[in-house]
Amino acid sequence: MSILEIENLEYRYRNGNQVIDGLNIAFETGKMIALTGKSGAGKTTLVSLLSGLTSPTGGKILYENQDLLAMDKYELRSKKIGVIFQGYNLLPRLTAKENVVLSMDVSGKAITNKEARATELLEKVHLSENLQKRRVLKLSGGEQQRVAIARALSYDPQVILADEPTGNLDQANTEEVLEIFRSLANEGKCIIIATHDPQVTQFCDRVVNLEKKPEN
Amino acid sequence: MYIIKNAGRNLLRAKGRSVLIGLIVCIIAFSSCIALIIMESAESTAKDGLSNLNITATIGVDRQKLMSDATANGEDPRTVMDSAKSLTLEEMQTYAASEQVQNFYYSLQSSLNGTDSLDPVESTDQTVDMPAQNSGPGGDQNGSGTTFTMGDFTVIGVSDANAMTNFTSGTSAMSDGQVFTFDKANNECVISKELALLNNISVGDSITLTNPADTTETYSLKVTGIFSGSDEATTANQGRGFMASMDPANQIYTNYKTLCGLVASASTDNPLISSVQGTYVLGTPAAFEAFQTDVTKMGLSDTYTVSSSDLTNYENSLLPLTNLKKFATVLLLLVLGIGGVILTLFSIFIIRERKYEVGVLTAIGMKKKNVALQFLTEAFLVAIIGVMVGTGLGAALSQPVADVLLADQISSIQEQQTNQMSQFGRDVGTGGGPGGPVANVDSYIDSLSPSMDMSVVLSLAGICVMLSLLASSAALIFVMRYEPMRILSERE
Repeated sequence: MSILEIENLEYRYRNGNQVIDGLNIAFETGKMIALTGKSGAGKTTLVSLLSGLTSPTGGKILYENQDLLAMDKYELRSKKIGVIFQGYNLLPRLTAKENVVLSMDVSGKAITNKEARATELLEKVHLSENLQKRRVLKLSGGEQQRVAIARALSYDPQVILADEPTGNLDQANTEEVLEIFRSLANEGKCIIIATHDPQVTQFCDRVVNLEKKPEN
Repeated sequence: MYIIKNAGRNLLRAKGRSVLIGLIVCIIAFSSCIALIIMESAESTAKDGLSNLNITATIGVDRQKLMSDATANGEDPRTVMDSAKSLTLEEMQTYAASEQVQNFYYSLQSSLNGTDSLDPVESTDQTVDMPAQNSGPGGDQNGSGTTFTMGDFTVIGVSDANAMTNFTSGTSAMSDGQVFTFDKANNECVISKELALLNNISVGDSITLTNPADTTETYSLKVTGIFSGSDEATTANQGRGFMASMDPANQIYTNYKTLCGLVASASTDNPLISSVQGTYVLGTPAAFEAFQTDVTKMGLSDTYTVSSSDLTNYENSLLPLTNLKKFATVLLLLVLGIGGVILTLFSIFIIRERKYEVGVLTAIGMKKKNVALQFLTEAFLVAIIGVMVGTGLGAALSQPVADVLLADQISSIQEQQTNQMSQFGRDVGTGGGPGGPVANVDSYIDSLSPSMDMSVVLSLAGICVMLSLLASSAALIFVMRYEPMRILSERE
């Protein structure tokens, strides 16, 4: 069953370059879908469009058959879609755990014992108790990436949009994260991963390759 | 709830930023607090002083009106002024019937000379050309252009003890002997200590005065007491070198009936110059205003005016306080204006620094209004702490600050007076307005009791918190117009 669908999606930058042109994809629940393509093919742009952070210049994005443009984007990102940003986008003054708890606070979902859930998720991505209490500025890139993953999972969204989620992880950690994604997909979530990593694409159920458009 | 928690956590984590903003708010609150307390206290001090004032009034010729009427009617102002007559004692007593009058006393003044055995404290012979305006007990002695010779002594005949205002106010006090009685013409008097020392006079001695126009006419008075006064050294200075009779040391007090007898005994060719002054004790400023209305109803011509030197003196004594209040008002406006601008600029700078934070929060789904609410909560919390500290310090330091500022105002005015005195050789003060001559006042109100009521505290807190929130809101507008993706991509 499709949870996210895009119909004739178009996106053109302000400078006129069209990065996405007439794209049609359906993203099903219970699946891990890899978005691949060369740099500049529009993977990150597509993640932004699907999360409502950017509005398309043409076409439609449907979330559970509802036009994304008509939906409350903040509601979408805080409750329904979990986004793992390529640049992590964590709050530097907060600790790893506080970043995760804040995300649950923002979602407004009735989550009992947010602290315990945050600890559980951070342990799941192999972030030690000591590191959980550290401000994210003092964490390495890989550690920050794992905090970003835990944050995206914290409020139990139906869709996980991950932009290069394993870019800073070693092979062992990559496998761990992919296992987490797999288990979430098995629970019925839709996992969309923009990646270059063949290890990730091999692990996914489906691969959507985005073609780079020639620049105008 | 999480917004407040997050705001509090942000304040603690960014201590430098919080302290800096708090410090600005604190300085604004501190300065505003002092300014407000000074304004409030100046107002209440002036009101309290006025309510404690026992106002007295006199009725005199309204020369200004006579002059302007004469000019308007094409008459010679000098002729009109010469024909103006002061009220007689009987007329004054008529107006004393007003129910506003608590007490009425009067005195007669005349100018006499001494003899070889009675020298004034400082002697100057002056002949003054002046219109006769006598309204003494001997009846009107008007004569346009009559020439009188001023004596060295001012003899004051008082109706009762109340008329000896220098004594009732405590400026003068008996140092030897006692004051004469008032009920009959007993030819008794009291003289100043300076005069007594100069002429080797003791209580029980007699002094002889002469008619300034005819030295063969002599009048003998028995000294029953000697007084000393704190104004001898100050007010006397103004008289010295100008007119000896103006020197308080050359004032001789006797009772009204005695002086009436002296004036009546003077020859008609060389009458003694004398004038009677009635004083109405009214009490409050409201009674003063009501008395003004009453006397008009009782038939007082509009060429006379009711005036109160107490009220005028009191208003003049408020000059430093009024200046201080003006200064405090300007300070308050400047602090709020400049402080508001600095706070806004600083908030803009700080919130622009936190643009990334706004981007992240909105990217994870926090609504912009909630982000704004969080930032405003931070501003509110800092403002409350800043206001509490600033107001506390302001309240604690307002007394010494107010004292210093008031003392500064008084010394500045006194310096201005001293300069005028040295330039003109005497006091020329009349109004005390900005740039104008400064009024001569015996003493200025030199103490302020800073007090702050809850309404002041609340309005101050409200002003500072509002200022802080407005500054943050203005800053937020800059950031809130950006879309999260734009902020985040700028960072990347």
